[in-house]
Amino acid sequence: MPAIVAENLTKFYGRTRGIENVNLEVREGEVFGFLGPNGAGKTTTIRILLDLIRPTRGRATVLGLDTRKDSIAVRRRVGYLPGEPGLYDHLTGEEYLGYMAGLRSGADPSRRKDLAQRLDIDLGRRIKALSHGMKQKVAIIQAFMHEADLLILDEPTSGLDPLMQHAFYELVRVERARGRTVFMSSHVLSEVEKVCDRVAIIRGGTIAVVEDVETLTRKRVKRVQVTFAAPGASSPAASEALTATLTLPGVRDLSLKDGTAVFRVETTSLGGVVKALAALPVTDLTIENPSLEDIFFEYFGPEAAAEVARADDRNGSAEMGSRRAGRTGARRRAAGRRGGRAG
Amino acid sequence: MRIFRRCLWDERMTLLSWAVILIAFALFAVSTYEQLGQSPGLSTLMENLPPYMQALFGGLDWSTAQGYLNTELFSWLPLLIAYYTGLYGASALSREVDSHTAETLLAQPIRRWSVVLAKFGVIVTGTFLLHLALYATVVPLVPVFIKGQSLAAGPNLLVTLSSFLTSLALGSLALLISAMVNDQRKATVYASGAIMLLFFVNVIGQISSKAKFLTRINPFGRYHSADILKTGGIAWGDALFLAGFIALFLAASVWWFERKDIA
Repeated sequence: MPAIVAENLTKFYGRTRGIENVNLEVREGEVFGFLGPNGAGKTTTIRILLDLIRPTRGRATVLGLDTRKDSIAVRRRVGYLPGEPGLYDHLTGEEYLGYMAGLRSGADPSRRKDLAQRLDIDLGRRIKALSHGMKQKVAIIQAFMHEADLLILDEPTSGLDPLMQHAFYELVRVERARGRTVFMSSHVLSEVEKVCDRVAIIRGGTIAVVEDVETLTRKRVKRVQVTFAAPGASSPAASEALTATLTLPGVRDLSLKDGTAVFRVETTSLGGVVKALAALPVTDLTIENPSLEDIFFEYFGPEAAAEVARADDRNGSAEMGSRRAGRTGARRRAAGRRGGRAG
Repeated sequence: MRIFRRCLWDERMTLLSWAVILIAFALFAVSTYEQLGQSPGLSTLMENLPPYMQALFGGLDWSTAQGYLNTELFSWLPLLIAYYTGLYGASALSREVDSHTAETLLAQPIRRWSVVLAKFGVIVTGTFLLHLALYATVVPLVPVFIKGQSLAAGPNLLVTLSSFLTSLALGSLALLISAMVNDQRKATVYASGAIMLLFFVNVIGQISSKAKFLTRINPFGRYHSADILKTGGIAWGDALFLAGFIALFLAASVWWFERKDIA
């Protein structure tokens, strides 16, 4: 029996489309990633699964139960981490978790303690005194402490430092090993790759693709930026020579300006590129993992990538921060140029 | 029940503060009786007021402690306590939605109506405790502060009960606004505005015969402390109207909250 089935799930907020005809099947026992840019419809889908919002059309089942008719039974078996967890600031972490546990006829206190230890948090402190990351940990414990059959996690690592992200991935792996199903949304590709078995990409309120993470990884490209020290590297002749050197299989979108080359390379071709670069006077080399925008570029072309960039600009992205902002602009310009060529 | 207990516990300091303020106000009213209530000039002024103004103050003998306290305290009681019920009622559900706590709360296996009833339960309990504190302070203290005078326990209990129902009706109105409006600040402003509007509409209805009908559909218009003190009995029509008003607005709150999107 699938853990989640969505059939033509549609939600309109007035005239604004939230999601449209979302069809999805999540298998029992898998970790399923729900990937999409901000505003793509991830949270809307999740909220419908929990009967927090009601679909305009379509239906969904969770663990074989109808999300509308059997919503109480569904929620009894689901642990939920909201994308923007609201906690009762005046309570301590322990009081808050005790309150939430009480709404489900109790949850083993030793489980709470164990999770708190793993996530390194003191639950005796008032929630209002906690940082954003610490609050996120309390919310994670709240979702995991019920020993639910299905975990629905909306942007779970938001606000966590890398060390704690690692601890969180470990928690997810443990749950998978115990046979639980995890459905987690994210707009960070590397996160989904780390823990998920399969992934659905949602774009503009509709599911664009459902893939095994392995397939997704094969299709990924890395972004490389190389700076050369050779005298006259910015001269047309030198540029031509560098371009010839870097025109290898798997390399694309090469641009060269002022002695700095920027290009994308398929993961499988990265070794060849590094070998070629070794023969050149390189002074700086940056290899970046692909962003969601890159994946969208790969799957759907420059228009879709530009769409992701716009969504990120509108909604902001805690994970990407200011580092991302510069790249976003550059990527959009690149997408625009390529779009222009295609036209 | 757990949500009710949690919310009531969270309200304890607010309730205590309101109780202290109300008792202080009541003690102030009691303490001013000898200077103001027994002033012949003020009694003459009251007697010379036009009938509709006299009706507004209840038409009781100002020179007695009961008449004085009715004018100074009991006639305002539902408005005073409606500040509490209105403020709590308006934020009861909207605060949960506004601060995103509703999302986690309603992701637990609980019915939405149970959340609305828990919040309403807090309004009922809080309103009851405030009235109880006031009654338990004023009635026994009047003979201590004012020699030779006392308040009749029974009729004053009925006045307190009538004020309780009126405040509760206004609290249920605020609760409906809270169910409809996601923004806590807006909900508070709308509820306070609605309560003040009802109060002034009632005043207009009391002094203008053409607008008298406005008092019939208004909780404030169903509160007649002076009549209860004069007759020693409660008007069951008013009590039934208030009970019906509360039931209607509570049902509307449940209905609205059940169908709304929590986003």
